[in-house]
Amino acid sequence: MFLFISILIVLISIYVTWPLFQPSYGKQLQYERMQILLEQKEYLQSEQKNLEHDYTLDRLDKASFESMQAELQANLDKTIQQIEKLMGMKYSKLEENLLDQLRGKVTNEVKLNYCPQCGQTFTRSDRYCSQCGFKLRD
Amino acid sequence: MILFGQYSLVIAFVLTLYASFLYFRADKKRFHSVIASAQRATLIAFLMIVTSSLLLLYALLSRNFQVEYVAQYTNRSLPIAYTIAAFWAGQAGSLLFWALLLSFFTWGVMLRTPHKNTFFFSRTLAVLSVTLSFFLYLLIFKSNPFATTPFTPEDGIGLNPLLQNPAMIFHPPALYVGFVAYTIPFSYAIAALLSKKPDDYWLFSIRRWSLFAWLFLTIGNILGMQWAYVELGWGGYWAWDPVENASLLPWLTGTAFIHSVIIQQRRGMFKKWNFSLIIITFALTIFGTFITRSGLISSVHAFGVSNLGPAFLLFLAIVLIGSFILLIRQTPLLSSRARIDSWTSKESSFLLNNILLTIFMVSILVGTLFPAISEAISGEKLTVGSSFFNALSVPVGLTLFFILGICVLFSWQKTRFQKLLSRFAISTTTTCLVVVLLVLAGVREMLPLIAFAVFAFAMISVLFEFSRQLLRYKNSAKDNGSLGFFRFFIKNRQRYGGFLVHIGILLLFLGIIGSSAYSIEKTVTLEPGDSVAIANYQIHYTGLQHVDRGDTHIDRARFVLNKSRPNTRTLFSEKIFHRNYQPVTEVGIYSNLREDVYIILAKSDEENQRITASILINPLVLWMWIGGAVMVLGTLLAFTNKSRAVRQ
Repeated sequence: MFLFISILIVLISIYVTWPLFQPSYGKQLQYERMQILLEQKEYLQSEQKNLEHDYTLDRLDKASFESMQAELQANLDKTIQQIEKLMGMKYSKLEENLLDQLRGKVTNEVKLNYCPQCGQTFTRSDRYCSQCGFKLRD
Repeated sequence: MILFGQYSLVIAFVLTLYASFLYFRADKKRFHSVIASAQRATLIAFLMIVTSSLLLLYALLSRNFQVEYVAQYTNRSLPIAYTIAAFWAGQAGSLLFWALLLSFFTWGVMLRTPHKNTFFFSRTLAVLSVTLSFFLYLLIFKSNPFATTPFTPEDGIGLNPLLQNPAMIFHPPALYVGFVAYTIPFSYAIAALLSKKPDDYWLFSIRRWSLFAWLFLTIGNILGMQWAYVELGWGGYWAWDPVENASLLPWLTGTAFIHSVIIQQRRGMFKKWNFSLIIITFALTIFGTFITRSGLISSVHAFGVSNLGPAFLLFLAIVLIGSFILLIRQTPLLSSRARIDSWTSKESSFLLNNILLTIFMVSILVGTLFPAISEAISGEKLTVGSSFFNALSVPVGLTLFFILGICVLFSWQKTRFQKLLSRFAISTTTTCLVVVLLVLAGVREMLPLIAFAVFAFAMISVLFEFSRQLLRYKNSAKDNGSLGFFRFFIKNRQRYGGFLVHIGILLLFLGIIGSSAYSIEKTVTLEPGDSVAIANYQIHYTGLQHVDRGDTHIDRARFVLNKSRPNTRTLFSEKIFHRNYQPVTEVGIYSNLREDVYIILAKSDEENQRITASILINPLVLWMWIGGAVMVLGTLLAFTNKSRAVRQ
């Protein structure tokens, strides 16, 4: 029994610590920030739809609907501004596939457009990271 | 094998500590590799706890009396279903069950979260892992389910006969699932505070988890009420027992949380309040576990005096102090986007609902802890009886149900006077009509009359608002056939599930009014052939049967209801005498939508078959169980509506 448990402990230790000896992807801050902002944007948009639904069902009057819609819109604008600032470009110009990746719809074939060294975003044409100079592709 | 069960727990404990450390320490530089290692540790810890649980289950089923826990809670004559239920019947087993559920949920969070590679996610898993470590610590150092006896007994003591009820298979697990599931919204909240993102982000992920936890707490509480009703043999379903209160407390704050979250999502208000509510709800689940295991409070449910009290108290203090320090530090980031514009708005009624639920929770908490508080102050243990809790719950409950009725009629932000008048007109007029009918039917006592009026007002308001929305939809939508309505209902099932939950709780309220205001009790001594008249029933006692079943001896009295009428029913009421335990009763119940006939066999004389029985007529009790089922159905409907984050 002790031999079995000792072997088990060794195997578990190897399995658990294995990733620590693998190369790491690096910084997450920008990636995380973008995900949160995109979540927030979609959440605010869905709340706008809910509000419209409530208005249709007469659960709030016109004045309340307009003021609450304005509150949500102001928040939505603020969120989109933050996304644009983080991406360094107009939201409308962001590529759809990049958005899909940021939303987490990343397949194994499509790599994330984030520098593995520093987390800076890059486009497909970039060979080196604009922030840290990390070689992105040959 | 027993040894391996023990070692599995130790390995799981070490791995969980390691994972907690890594989840907290994951930094910018080596995020992916550190998190991957921690996730592997979480997965193996889960597998180790599963192994340990399966080994305990095997020990129970194979009647391995060398294991102290098995010898204490099973014996050779115990049926298989109760042998499995013995897993959570005792202290050590229930702690292992808790750890099993928590590790399963942690694994679930790990698998289901769409964005795994975030600091927020790693902090969530860190809080979950720390909580799991605490329970594993208790299992290893304080209450070991694999502890062995110095000698192997021939047979075990067996499961307490009070616990040998089908509800034992479902009631404790449902409550445990509810309690444990609240760890997840709590972990998300703490992760939001730790990663300095306390805005609305954490709410995206917790909607379904908080509904899930609330659903199981509701199921657990209702099953517990039914169990007490059929098993304890005192004619009631809620005795304000400390342990009953312990499961009600998180349900109350959990209910408040479900409501106040809606306000934060829609209006950006109550942000600090929502954090406080979920922290308190989680703390109350730990508190509930603490009072059942510390020996602090006497209760029919308690596990007796144990050495777990100080550990639970320390953990509770860390949770409360640590969480509120974090919350206070993030307060500048938690300003409201809007404010309450009018008192005739949904926001204000939700606020009032939250205040009342919290006041109710605090009062029950004080009442529950009063024996310990009085002992600490005066050295004398004073208890507050159910009269204190009843006196408290009547005004609070009536106001809460009245607010429920008002809330559905209010609009968001502000309700214009004209609309207010037109919406209230129908509910108020119908309520007045109901009151007049009740007075004509002979209901003259003020309190039941007020309670029925509140019930009628709230129920009519909910049904009125529901039909008003459907009519609006019919007028505005193209798809307005019968299938169109169905599609509309299913598409908005989160909203209409909520309506069903409110209808369910109102039906439960109806049952409480009827059974508490109009219950009749008669205690009689009968000999075979005797009859007794109560309410509209003629109850005929036909005789006493004695049954011997190994360790138990059963006295079974047979009654025939309405003997001379066509709708004859036969009822059996039993008193069960057990070798190792106090006698227990199995009440005889005949239930219909109007009332329950409830017969308790208090005393029996084997020689001349003379018995003493308490016969109760409990009106409208069946509506409570129907209401409970409707609540569960409504919550399930709302739960199946996937949250935005998951849909994404």
